[in-house]
Amino acid sequence: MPRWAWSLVIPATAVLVLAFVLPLSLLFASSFFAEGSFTWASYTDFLSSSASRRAYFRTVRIATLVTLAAIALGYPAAYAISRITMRWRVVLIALVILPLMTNPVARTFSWLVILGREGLINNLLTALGAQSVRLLYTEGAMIVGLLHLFIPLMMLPLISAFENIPQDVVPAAQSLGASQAQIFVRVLIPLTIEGLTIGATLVFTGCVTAYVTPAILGGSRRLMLSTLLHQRASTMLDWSGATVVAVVMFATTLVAITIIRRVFGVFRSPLGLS
Amino acid sequence: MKEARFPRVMLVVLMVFLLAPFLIILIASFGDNASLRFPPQGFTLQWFRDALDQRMFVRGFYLSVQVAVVSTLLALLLGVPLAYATSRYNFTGKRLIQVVATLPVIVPELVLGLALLRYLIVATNLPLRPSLILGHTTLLIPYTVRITLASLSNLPYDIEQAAISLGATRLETFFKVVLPNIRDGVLTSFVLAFILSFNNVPVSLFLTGIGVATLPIQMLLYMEYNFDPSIAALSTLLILFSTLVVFITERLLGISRAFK
Amino acid sequence: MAFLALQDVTIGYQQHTPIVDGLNLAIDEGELVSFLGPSGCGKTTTLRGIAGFVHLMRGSLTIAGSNYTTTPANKRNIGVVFQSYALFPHLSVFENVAFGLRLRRVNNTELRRRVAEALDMVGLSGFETRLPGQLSGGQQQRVAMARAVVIEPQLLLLDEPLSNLDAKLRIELRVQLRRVQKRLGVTSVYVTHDQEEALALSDRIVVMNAGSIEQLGTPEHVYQQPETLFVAQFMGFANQFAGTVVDVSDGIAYVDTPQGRGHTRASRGVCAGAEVVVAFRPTAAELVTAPADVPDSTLTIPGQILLRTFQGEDVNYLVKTPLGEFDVSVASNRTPLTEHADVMVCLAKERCIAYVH
Repeated sequence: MPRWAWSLVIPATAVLVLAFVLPLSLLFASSFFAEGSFTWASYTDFLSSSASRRAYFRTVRIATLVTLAAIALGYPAAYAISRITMRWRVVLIALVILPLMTNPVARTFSWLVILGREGLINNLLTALGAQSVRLLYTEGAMIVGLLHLFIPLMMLPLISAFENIPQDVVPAAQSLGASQAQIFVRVLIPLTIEGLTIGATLVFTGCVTAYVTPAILGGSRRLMLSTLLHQRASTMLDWSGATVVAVVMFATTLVAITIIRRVFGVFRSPLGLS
Repeated sequence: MKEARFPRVMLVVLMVFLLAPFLIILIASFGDNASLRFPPQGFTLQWFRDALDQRMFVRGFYLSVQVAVVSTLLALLLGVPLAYATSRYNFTGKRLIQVVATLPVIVPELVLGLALLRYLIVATNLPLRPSLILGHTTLLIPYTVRITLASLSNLPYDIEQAAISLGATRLETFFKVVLPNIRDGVLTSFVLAFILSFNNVPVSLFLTGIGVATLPIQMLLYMEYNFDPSIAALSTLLILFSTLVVFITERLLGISRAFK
Repeated sequence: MAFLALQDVTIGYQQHTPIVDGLNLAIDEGELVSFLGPSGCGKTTTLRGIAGFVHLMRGSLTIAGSNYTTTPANKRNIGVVFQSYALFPHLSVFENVAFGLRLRRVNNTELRRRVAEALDMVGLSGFETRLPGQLSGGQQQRVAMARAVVIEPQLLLLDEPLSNLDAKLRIELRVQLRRVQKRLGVTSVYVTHDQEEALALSDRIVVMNAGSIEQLGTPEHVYQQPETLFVAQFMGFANQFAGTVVDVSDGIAYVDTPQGRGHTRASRGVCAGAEVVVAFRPTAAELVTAPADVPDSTLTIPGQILLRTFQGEDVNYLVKTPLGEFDVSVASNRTPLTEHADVMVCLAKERCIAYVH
């Protein structure tokens, strides 16, 4: 590469190092030091705190449920979209992208209106003569909110995956005698597993790291890792506590990515062979 | 193949699930009651006026726009050259830099926000506004780089060599030949980056202070103590705005392609 | 004095594995010289070195007496036609052709005149407002040509400009290209892997292999007197067998093989006792069924027909012999031979060449 071309690379790299790599490395490192000496103390504190443990398991639990729901709803829907003629498909894809481009506070707020004491669902229930139910500040509310937030991230890679299936593959399988179910298992799933992996990764890690939805729909009663982090940092000014949560959050996303890869990799070929 | 019914049904369910909340919030923002309820009673535009009048929202809006514009421009100024160098050349550390340039997407934004708070603001005393801009820019660089790279890969290098053989300098080649042909990609990344910055919460959450709060943060603060339709009205306005942006850019640039 | 001179030119992307090593070449003004060879032989790399797109690791480049070794690519005034045409997708045909002129700040009236002239020369007058995306492959190629010549370059470089076109179009455009080149008298270097194209277009041919020159000569010379086995194979000497030289004199070798002895032409370096490979074209052999019909003083090899393929004007026979399988082409109006028939492959001495193994 010619000498002058380094001027194209250096500015971006400098910013990334100074405003990203460095602060994160320092943050990560700081979680292992208390008063100048290496220690696991902050981590043991995290593990021993029941609030932290509860938040952690709640986070993993909710993320898993949302991801499964996203697959259950998103996979068939993406398949349907990929079969629609181009003109309408473009409109539908734009509609799927729309929530991603919308303010997350606004998006989550709409669930307050739906799930609140005087919201859509409760008013419907009272109109039918039933009791009003407390839906807000429950795990269910967070699950619905997160699903609403992240399902587009499952849809887009899946739609792309379905579109990339070669035109004549399904008719070819049919001509060879495959039934609907067999086509689904032996053709569609292996060919879309890549998109499914990407979607699942995005949804799961999104749920682990999202803040707005757990904050608004879960409140301080049902903490997830993200709201716990914020609470430690802003309300309690517990830097080291917050940092540990941050590291745990990051580590969880990395582990999740690996596990998802592994699990879905099994389905690459219906017989588990690669 | 006969179109199976199940996927279509799920598609309808999905679309309703995705879009109904927007409709609901739209309707709720016209309600008459002081406290938010659905279905709303009455019809008034009062809440829209309210939302637009609130000083904290207006200030938050301006800050959000300011930060979004500056961060997006910076992300482009930094990202496009990097994308160009990555696409056309090989250099030591290229793989490493490519990895670093995509990392901000993987790291939880909340974690980055905390790190920036501790080490940019608290440790080095950098004022809030520049920190905010720096933080947003870092988040946006992966997007501007990736989209520009995609555009560049569609422009064969020998077109630039043709321009050079005809007498153009490097700079002339970039502005007269490369840029016109990656224009769509650059514009798409501009729109995408702007929206990502405008809507960002996790990073802005930490990089906030007295008198310096982006619109989403202001909305969160307001919601801590208030539960009235003015937030609904504001949300409606923001949703309408996003809808407009998405459809215009889809028409002009085919933004859905950027997500493939 | 040569117009274009390459001296000891070495080009490569990595220090110790140059693609072109110690190349020496002199091209006269107005000549069209072809670089002919297989992929990877260095012909395109040499072309790019002349254009200035890659640095010369060693050696020098002289054009019209001036040293261009370190001159930047955009200051060499060399026209380049790329294999993919490399037209600017966002500019019209007119603006594509005018690009170089605009950079040279040519005034508007003069610019229009020259662009019109260039488009006329390639037969595309009237296409000014079209975009490259609206043109066929052949039309794009012609625009690329017009764009390269309109700047009145001192040198024209063409990198396999016709290989993306179908056969018929290739021949048509080949003629047109040569006409334009001759009319302008511009010194040109043409890179191709197509032997037929090189023969038809060039004043001289440079056959390249693995980064160096195997042979340099006129088309007739290279075709009839290939100097190395590589060049021979490239120019269509598809058949070969091994033998030992008994005696050489006056460029004729007497070669001994397990199937018989005979005379062949001898290439350079062939001497008595040498192990050689004898090569000949499919059209060079005669197939004879009766021993009595074997012509005098030919190298004769017995064999059997494996496969007969009708090709229109010729018939192709795949003949199995103890010395190998041979491809023999015979005019189709001769008596046809059946598969499994026994034949004698007869080679006259002028039709085959022996090369040192």
